Amino acid sequence: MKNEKCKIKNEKWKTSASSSGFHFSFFIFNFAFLQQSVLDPAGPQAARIGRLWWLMFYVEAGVFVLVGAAVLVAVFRKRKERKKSSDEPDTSPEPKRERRMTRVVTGGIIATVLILFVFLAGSFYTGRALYSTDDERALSIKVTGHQWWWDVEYDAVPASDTVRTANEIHVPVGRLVKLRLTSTDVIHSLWVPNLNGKKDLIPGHEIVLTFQADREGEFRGQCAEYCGYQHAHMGFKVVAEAPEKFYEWMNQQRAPAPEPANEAEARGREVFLKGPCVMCHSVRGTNAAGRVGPELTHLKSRTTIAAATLPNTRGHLAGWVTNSQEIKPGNNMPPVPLEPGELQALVAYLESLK
Amino acid sequence: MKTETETLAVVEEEEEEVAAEQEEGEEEEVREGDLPEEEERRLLEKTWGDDPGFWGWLTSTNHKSIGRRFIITAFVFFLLGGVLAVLMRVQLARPENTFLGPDIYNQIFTMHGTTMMFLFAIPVMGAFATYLVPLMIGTRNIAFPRLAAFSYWIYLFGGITLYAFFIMNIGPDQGWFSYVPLAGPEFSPGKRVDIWSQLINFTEISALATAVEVITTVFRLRAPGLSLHRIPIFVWAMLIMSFMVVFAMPAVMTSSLFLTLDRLVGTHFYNAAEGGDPLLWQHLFWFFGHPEVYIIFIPALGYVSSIVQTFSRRKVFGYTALVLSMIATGFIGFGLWVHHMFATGLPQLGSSFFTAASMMIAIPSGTQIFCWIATLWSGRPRFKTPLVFVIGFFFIFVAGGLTGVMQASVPVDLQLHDTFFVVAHFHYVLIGGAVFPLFGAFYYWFPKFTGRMLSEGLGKLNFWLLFVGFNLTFFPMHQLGLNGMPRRVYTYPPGTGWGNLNLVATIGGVVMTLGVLTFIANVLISRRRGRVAGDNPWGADTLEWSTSSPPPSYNFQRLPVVQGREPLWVRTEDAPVVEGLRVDCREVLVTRTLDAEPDNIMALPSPSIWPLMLALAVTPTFIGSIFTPWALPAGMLLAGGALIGWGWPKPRDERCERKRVEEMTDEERRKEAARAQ
Amino acid sequence: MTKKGRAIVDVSKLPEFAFGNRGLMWWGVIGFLAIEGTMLVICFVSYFYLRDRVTDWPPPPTPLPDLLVPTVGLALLLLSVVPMHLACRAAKKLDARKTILWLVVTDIVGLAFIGVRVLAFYALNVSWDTNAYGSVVWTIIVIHTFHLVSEVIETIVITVLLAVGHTEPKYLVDATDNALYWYFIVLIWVPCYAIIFVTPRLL
Ligand code: HEA
Ligand code: HEA
Ligand code: HEC
Ligand code: CUA
Ligand SMILES: [Cu+2]
Repeated sequence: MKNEKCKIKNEKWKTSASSSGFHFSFFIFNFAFLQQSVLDPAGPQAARIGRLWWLMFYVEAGVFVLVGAAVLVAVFRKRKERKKSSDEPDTSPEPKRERRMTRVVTGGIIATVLILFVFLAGSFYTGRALYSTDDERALSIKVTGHQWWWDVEYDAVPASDTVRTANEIHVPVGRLVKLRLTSTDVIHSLWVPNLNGKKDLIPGHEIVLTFQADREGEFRGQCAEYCGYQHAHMGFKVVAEAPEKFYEWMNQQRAPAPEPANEAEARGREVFLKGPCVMCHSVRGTNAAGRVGPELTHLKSRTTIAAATLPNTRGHLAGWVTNSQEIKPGNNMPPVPLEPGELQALVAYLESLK
Repeated sequence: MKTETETLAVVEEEEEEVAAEQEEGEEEEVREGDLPEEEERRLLEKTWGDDPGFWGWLTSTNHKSIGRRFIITAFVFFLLGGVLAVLMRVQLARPENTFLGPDIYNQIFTMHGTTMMFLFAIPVMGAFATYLVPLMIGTRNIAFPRLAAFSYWIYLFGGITLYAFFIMNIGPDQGWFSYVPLAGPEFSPGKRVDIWSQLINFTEISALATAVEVITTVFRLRAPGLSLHRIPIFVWAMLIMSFMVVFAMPAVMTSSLFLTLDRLVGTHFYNAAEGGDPLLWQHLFWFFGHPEVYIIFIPALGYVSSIVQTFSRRKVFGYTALVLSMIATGFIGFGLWVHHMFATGLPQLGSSFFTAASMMIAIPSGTQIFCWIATLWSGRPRFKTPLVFVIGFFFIFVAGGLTGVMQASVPVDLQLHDTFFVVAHFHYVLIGGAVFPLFGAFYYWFPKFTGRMLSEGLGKLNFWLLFVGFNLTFFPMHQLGLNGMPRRVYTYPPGTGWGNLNLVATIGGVVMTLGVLTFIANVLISRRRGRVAGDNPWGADTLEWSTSSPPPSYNFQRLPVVQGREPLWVRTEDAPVVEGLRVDCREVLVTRTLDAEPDNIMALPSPSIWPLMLALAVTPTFIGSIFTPWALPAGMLLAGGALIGWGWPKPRDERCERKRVEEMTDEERRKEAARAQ
Repeated sequence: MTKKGRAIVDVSKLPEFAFGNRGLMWWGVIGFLAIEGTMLVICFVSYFYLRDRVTDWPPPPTPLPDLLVPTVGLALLLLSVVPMHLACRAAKKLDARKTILWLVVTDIVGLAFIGVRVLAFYALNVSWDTNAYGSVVWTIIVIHTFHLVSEVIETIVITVLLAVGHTEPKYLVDATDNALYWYFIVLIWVPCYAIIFVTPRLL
């Protein structure tokens, strides 16, 4: 059902991709995973921040109500009118009342200072807890930001065991994850609201972001730092799964790309290897080793393409290859003109990269 | 006291004398008190008025003419920025909307931010200072009037340049803080970023010039008796703002110079590959950028103070506390910049310092709020539109300040940074903290500017539309941020659930537009038909209300002598006035910095075309230099010429100079020199 | 507005020009000094920030800058304070002739120094587009040179103004305020010099 609808839509944006037509396809696309919230933590980091947030929220709500009430009472309170019509300004206010008000104002300032101390202490300890999670056993992943997609590498010893994927970060539930963030072009910022705050990816710097997912699920994240044309379409997702499942996934990712299972796929591979694709993409097990674009070895194991912009369906892949520029204007993959037969074969091949 | 007829008779007599005198020779000095009142006013008007016609408009060096056009221009930029904002809101109203594409959207939000910050908020504050400070401190013009004129022209040309490029669809599109490397040569080829950084140069020159004028004016041109501990809070605010400009603007000047060099001549300041660092830009920009928001906010505190004092009919509670807290804000404001960079992975201890500093600034802000509440509490509030805007200010600003404190906390900010929560925060503080007071100020001083009152009915309508529209627009943005919506996205997928809140925000934007339209209507109608204001319609206390509305070109026929903090409220019947300045020259009284005792007399220059000429020389230099380096030497020649023209003695002013030292006897020279040390 | 019969503060006998911080122009000059000083200080801070990012300074294979020519220049520039000070003193005594005389001397020293400055560019031994080190030292020296050249030109203009007979006291006051600027240019060159030519040897 899902796929069918997408296909129908797909026909449409071959002709006019930017018309509002294809946008509806999103409604049926994994609705739950798109919902994010800072206040619905799925791990200890986000939970700690959430607690600090609620502390600040309630205290400040109180402050706001008090100050607001004071303003309203100050302006609307009934007062003994002296001379009814007199606009005579008061240049020597009654000293007793002035002193009383001085005391109240001073009290307000002291209260402010005390509240701020609480906030300061709260954020200091929360911050320390967030930073001091340096754990030997942490799963270390290097994430490199690109305009406008995420390159994800699972560090491993020996280095040849490194697993590389894109726009999707699988993590085991209950284990600390350490992301080493950097960028080779402009500054990006990696943010998964349900798991932790964001950290920037800056050329020439490596910045560490740790988080831990305590429940299974898919959590959407996106680039938070404006990075140019398609900053809006630089999403990704974190898939938190039970450790067994995670290792299964890991092993599967480590394997080279599956061999074509039928003729169409074999032909597709030929198209792929002969075309410009190899300049930018790599598929392990073939001689495609470009690093300009996302790794495609296990493309089909991912559920979205183009940085969480589209569901990974046959139709969308076809649409993407023929003209990615209409789907995500300005992105760094050029349109690749292909004959319909070639396209079908290529897509069949891409679909086989499980 | 002479009776009226007697006075008249004397006037006639003296008129004849003057005529005779003027025939005898131009050389004769005419001082205050030499002429009958009417005659003196006429001569003052002749001395201080702009030259006639269009030429006079171009050459004006009167702080009120300059201030007025400054305010109007800034307001036009506010409208332009607002129109862009509404376009953005339309685009974001629905998910996957295709009203604007990424190219246009990115240009629009950059132009919106840049316009609002650099072409509206900063200049409009300087504009109010230019217009009002000389009046409030009781002098006849601002200290460096030609510099003030230049400051306006350069600002105008900068703004026009930016919009010219925007209309040609090569407006900047890298955001109002232009983070490198996105704004660097590699990722922003073309001229978009260059235009942006030249615009920064235009506005910062303008702001710096204004700052120097205001500082000098406040320190040296105050009326006798207006010692430093008596100057209105408004003047303090402008003074502190000016100091902040002086020390903050050079940072952005330097950083944008580095950026320009990186882009045009291949330096490597921000290039990580050659030993540069993109974070250097962020440090430099925010070292300016954070003080900048207080540069916008502190003048607004001045408006609020004036309005609260006048409409609660009592002197403001806690003058010293207010002044000290503004000064504290000014100082602390320079120590917060890193709170915009918490996500860049700086060491925790360092970040904690900036958290502490950022929270600390809530203390002076709170003090101010509490003092005003106390003033209102013990006063007898009059619900005129300016006060209503100030009450709106209390609610919106406090909410925005409180979200600011949340963002000051590193862990919380890591969640909130670069989301719509931040967008909500800064519109709450910018619009609540600066634009609402500004509207209040406009309602308050409009009678002084034009001689007519704005309509109260339309004023209240204006307020409610803006207030309701504002909260509709920006309150939902807090929730959007918490729900994960990053800022600066031209669209978003429907499944995120952001659609409805965005729709509410857009509707709010429409309501705000109605509010702004009401304001425009009010101004246009009242300008012609408003109630005539009289000198002091609100019964206010500061000196600008002691002269006519609108004030004459020379501000005061006699400079007042100030007897207390609320000059017009405490003035006694027999208050002395200053006398003896020349009426036929643009003389102002220079007083001592602390106690405002009369010190010496200074002749200010007459109208001059050279400020405009200099601006005309500098503008093509800035624009040309992004296309060819040769524009710089060529431009320097032009600008040098204009500067020499500016500084060279004008026959018109020579009349007002002391005679040449070569014509003095040794004795005279020694005496004069001794008096001048 | 004004009422006859009021007490009056008579200011007609006050001096119509004043030196130093009693005049307005002094404040303007100080304001712009503060601005330009801040700008240079920010350049210095950037210098140390960039220095902190790498291990070797200057980054190899960039050679160290030469020391001789800039040091001679520094001496020359410091020397120019003397005639400027004398000009200033004469101006304060309203002695136009002496003022002009010393200003001319200052102008000559200033022009000579600009000559030396051109050589100092070669002494940097690095180009602005080599690396960030080159960029920052070039920027500091160019900013300073820009101010230096404008200041020398301004001083020449004032000299000419006085020489053609505009010796109204106001212009003598201007000459003293201009001296302030000159001192600034000279003094700020000391840290510039230290940072550009000495620091790479120490850090
Ligand atoms: C007029 C402008 C203005 C003002 C006044 C403020 C005021 C404050 N701002 Fe804001 N700020 C901006 C304009 C302004 N800001 C802008 C434009 C940005 C975004 C730039 C961009 O990224 O584009 C920004 C961003 C910004 C950030 C970075 C967010 C991010 O990008 O991650 C932070 C973080 O600390 C912050 C903090 C504060 C604080 C603590 C105050 C404080 O000064 C507030 C103090 C006031 C109060 C707290 C209310 C009154 C006090 C009381 C009633 C007493 C009781 C209070 C307590 C007990 C807490 N601001
Ligand atoms: C003082 C500063 C100021 C002011 C007043 C405003 C006012 C408004 N701002 Fe803006 N805003 C900023 C400063 C300001 N903003 C900054 C600095 C940014 C960051 C930019 C960046 O990220 O780089 C920003 C960003 C920003 C965004 C985020 C964009 C993004 O991240 O994608 C949004 C989105 O809703 C927005 C909306 C608005 C709205 C609806 C108003 C409204 O209040 C506007 C109200 C005004 C009007 C509605 C005008 C009415 C016009 C007429 C009546 C037309 C009449 C016309 C003629 C007579 C010719 N602003
Ligand atoms: C010039 C470089 C370049 C060439 C050539 C190129 N691509 Fe891409 N490709 C990219 C980039 C960059 C992206 C990421 C775009 C984005 O999401 O912003 C991408 C994304 C993709 C994706 C989506 C991957 C994902 O997980 O999001 C697929 C599938 C893909 N390319 C297939 C192809 C095929 C098939 C060809 C050849 C016919 C090809 N590409 C040629 C650069 C290239
Ligand atoms: Cu990457 Cu925004
Ligand atoms: Cu800030």
